[in-house]
Amino acid sequence: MATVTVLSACGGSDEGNNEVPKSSANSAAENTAIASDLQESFGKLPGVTSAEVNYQDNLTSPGSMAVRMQVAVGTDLAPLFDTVTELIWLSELDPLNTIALSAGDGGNPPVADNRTLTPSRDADHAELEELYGPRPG
Amino acid sequence: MSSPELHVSGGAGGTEADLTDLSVLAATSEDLGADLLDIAAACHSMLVDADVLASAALDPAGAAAFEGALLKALDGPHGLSATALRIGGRGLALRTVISNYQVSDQVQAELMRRLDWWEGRSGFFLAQAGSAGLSAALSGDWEEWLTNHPGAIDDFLDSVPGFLGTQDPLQSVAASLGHLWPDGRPVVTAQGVDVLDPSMITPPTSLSDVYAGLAYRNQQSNATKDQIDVRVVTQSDGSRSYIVDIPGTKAWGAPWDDNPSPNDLATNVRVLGGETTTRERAIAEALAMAGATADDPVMLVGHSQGGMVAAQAAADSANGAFDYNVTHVLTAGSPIALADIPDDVQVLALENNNDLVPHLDSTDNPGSPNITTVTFDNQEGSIGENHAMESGYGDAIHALDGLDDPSVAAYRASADQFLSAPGDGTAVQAQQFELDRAR
Amino acid sequence: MPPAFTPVALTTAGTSDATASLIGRGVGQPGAVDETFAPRASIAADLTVLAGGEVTLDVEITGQQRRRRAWFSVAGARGVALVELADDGVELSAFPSVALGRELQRVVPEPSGLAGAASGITAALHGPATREPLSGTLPLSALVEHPPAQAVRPESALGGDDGQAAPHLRSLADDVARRTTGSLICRVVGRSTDALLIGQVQWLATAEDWIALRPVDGPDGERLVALHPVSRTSIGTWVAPLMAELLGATR
Repeated sequence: MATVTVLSACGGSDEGNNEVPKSSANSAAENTAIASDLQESFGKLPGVTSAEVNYQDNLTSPGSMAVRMQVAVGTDLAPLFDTVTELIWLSELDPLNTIALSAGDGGNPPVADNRTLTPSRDADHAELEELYGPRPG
Repeated sequence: MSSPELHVSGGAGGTEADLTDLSVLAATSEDLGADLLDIAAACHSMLVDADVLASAALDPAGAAAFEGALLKALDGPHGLSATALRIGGRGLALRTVISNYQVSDQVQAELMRRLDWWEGRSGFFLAQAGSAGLSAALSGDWEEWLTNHPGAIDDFLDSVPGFLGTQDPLQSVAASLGHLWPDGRPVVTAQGVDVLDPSMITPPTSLSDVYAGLAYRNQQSNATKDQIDVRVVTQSDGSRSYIVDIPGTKAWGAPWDDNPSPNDLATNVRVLGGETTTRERAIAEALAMAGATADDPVMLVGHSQGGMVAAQAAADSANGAFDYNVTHVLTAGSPIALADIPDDVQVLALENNNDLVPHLDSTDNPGSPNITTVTFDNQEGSIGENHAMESGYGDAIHALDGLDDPSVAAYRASADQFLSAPGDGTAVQAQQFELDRAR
Repeated sequence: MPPAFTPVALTTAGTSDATASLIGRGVGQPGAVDETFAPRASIAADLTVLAGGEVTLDVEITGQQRRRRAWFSVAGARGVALVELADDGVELSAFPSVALGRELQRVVPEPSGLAGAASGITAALHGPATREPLSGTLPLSALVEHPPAQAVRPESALGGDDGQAAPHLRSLADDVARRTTGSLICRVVGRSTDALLIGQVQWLATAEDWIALRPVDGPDGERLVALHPVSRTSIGTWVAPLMAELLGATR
């Protein structure tokens, strides 16, 4: 009987060859609670009229923290995003692979902006650490 | 990572694929797989030394390099020490292997479930095992339990009507389906206009702008917040077109308890529906609520299962089952090769060569003028991340705008009622919808 | 191990013979103690993926004369297949996880391969071999309450306004019962943080075609099944929505 070789397409990378699910991160309940607390904090920031977070940790969106905020017309979004980013970075959300922020004022004409960061990638991780220090824990 | 190289096939630019200088692993592995299967005839079994697998010598970058390395690995002096494993009949000595390995909870649960489903005799196993044995089995020591009670499994199997004419495949399928009935129709609720992201308030000017709306909607969705949106694009002459952003389902999963089967396990069991048809109906409802008529042009944008829904809706728009004028489909990570899309629907499908989901159909997309497939090589290291919109497809989406390719250009040009140029007076309003289970 | 591949009790002698045989074939090497057995690294790696995969697929194909099972597990870039062969052998192999669709296809036979000797008789009794593939929609109960070759169908299975089963439904149910020669069930299993997630694709085989069964909720919540003729190569397309949903489930 002839034999066939089938090789796995590892792409030469060792880091992602995770054949066993990670067990060191928070439980879903823990992350949900942390995200919920953060949502409450965001809602109290200056200029923010409402905030909604969506933390997902699944195979398609691992450690993904999305925040969207309704803000008062004229609110400067860049510093708001900085503050929100810092609060997320210094929280105990784990895993934290992606941070996606959106905000809009619903004005006429409407103004909105967004920002995406990928803490799971070295470049963004280093920048965040430089700005806000290491993550807790 | 840096911008990936994109490879385009099909579409108006012709069906000739330019393979030079590209890491198109899927085409490579498909062709290679076919070659290997030819070589191997009916047999497909070889175990590969784990050390060799990890070896950089088998870096598959480049089709020629991959084939060359493979041949060298098989036949050269430092060739793979591969073993064809054939284990005969029931005389397995793998029992000792099992006792050395952790078998995951899901296999354990599956074993229990399987025995139940097979003949619906959920009480049998309990009777055989006794409650102490069963709890030992369920607590994780089940390998040891099975090792010490292999006869129990055989007894159970023997008591089941065998396969030589006495087991009815129809009844067993029907019974299994009855045990695993997925949840049904979603209820669509309008949630008003979404103004919280640039993709929702700025008319899209490029394909990456279109995908950005889908990515945003995908970020807002989860298992309990299943959202889609309809971006109503109004041109300066008042004509309207509709872009529907369809993230993949995030597993509502019907609870096991809904099915007439006792759950003896401590763990919850949820039934996946994977139901594209019910989602398609939800899209139609949302379009109706957004004010689309049967003639307004509609572009369906989907990732993963969302793209499958988009393709199916496009197919159904030709036979009246989806009563809207689908003119364009834009997908990422979706298998659409068998979708029977009508010739007058323009499709652009983005596929990561390392994403197993779009390759599940194991068929190349048709190379027809209306279907453009853009493939690229991005290896994020895990199944999920290779499939995810941000990690798996984000860089390629950005690279798409800069791609100078006739098929992609033709797709863009054909979509001008959805895309605008800055200052041309186009407006957009994004209506958000939530899909809940009817319960 | 997957349920199709349960081990059996071996005597000491049997274990030694089996162990020696496996060692002789290069599957493993002797362990430190007499009866222990250490599989070689490659098998160990494959079994690890099989046990610890992110997604597992379990395929069971039954026919009138045979049954075949296959079990696939994918983790990262790697997939492992455990396939029951026609001659009772078992095959363990590895593949790039992106090729899962192709792996699924290779274990699905043409439906004509499932029909046993009985199908010839069936064809002789019931007409020419080229018949329309089964299609339409039936209550799930009609499939359960129709064992083959039963002459009288209970009226309650099909309903109808006046209690009389609609003739075309009756005829379709009869056809399904009579023409089914086999089945395919593919279950996709994964895990979220708080649940085991299972999805299922189910097909019937007739002598000529595979027929996919798609669950549909009727307007009153009754369980209906839509029948769609499909090609064997479409198995991956039917699995894909379940796989996609699984990948989006909370870990």
